[in-house]
Amino acid sequence: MTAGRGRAWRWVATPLCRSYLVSFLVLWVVAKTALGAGAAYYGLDPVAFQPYNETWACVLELLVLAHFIRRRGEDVLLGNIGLELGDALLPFVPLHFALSAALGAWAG
Amino acid sequence: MSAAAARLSAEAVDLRRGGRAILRQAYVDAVPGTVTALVGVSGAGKTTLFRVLTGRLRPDGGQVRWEGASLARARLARLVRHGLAFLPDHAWLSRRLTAGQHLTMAARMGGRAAPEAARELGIDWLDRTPDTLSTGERRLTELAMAIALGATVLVLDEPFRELDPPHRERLAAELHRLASEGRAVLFADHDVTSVFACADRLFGIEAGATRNIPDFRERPVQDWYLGWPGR
Repeated sequence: MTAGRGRAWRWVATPLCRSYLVSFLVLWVVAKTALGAGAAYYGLDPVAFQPYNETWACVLELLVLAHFIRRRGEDVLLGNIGLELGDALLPFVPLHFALSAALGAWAG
Repeated sequence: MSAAAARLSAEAVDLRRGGRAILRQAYVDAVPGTVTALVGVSGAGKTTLFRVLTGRLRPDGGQVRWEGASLARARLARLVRHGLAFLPDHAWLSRRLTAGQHLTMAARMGGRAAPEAARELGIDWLDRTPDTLSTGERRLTELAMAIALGATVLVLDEPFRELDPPHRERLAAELHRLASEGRAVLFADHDVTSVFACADRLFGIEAGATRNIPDFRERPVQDWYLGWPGR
């Protein structure tokens, strides 16, 4: 295991990462609701997995989360534990797609 | 003090913003086993120089060196992996985590054990969140985090600000102790009391330009830098 990968695993197990997970799940629900409402408006399946829309939703969720982290000064906290903001948010990318795909599969 | 002995240094740093020079060939370093102070009035460029030194701001010219090697893209996270801890002057601990959780996280990410760091600084508020701590308790928690991370260089921006006299004394003693154990401690302040309390070396900064003042204890405070009020 590389040092970088080891650091990533250690990060995922921290309480700070878990606190971001809670915020991210709230953002995912909000984004998914907005996406679903938009899809329903155009007569499409509101929970269908559409890669293009999911990518944009994921980017938006991460930008909002990054904004809140910076506003609270926690980017310094992340830096002090050896993590760039991008590295800290990286685990949430597969999570977004996994959740959206699971929801699409469950509803479909 | 020679740059070769420095573990971390910012050299010949230039920074311009809006046509105005914020930093002018500025130099500062952190040497193992010593406490170094960077002193200047508000707006002299202390925080900006620290932001460059800790990879939080990219300068227009100059470089940051770690143990003599130039870091082309110095970023805080990268410097931390080398052994830096940066304690800025604003709140940066998570309000959702307790002091104990911060220390455990720091130890886990630094690959070291946490309890010693808490014991070392006499921290008995492990179950409290930062917003319930006094400024002094928060500073000591931040310092304990740096120890738990295994930092060998500590950069602190105005660590004595808003501290009551007992906590000032305590923090000065801790900084001195950490340096005596071989760490390099560098802090910025505009208050001479803190400098006399714990600094071994002094850099003055005025309008973005720095000056090493090796014999600062023998010289009147007014001589430290030209911008001193009343000079």
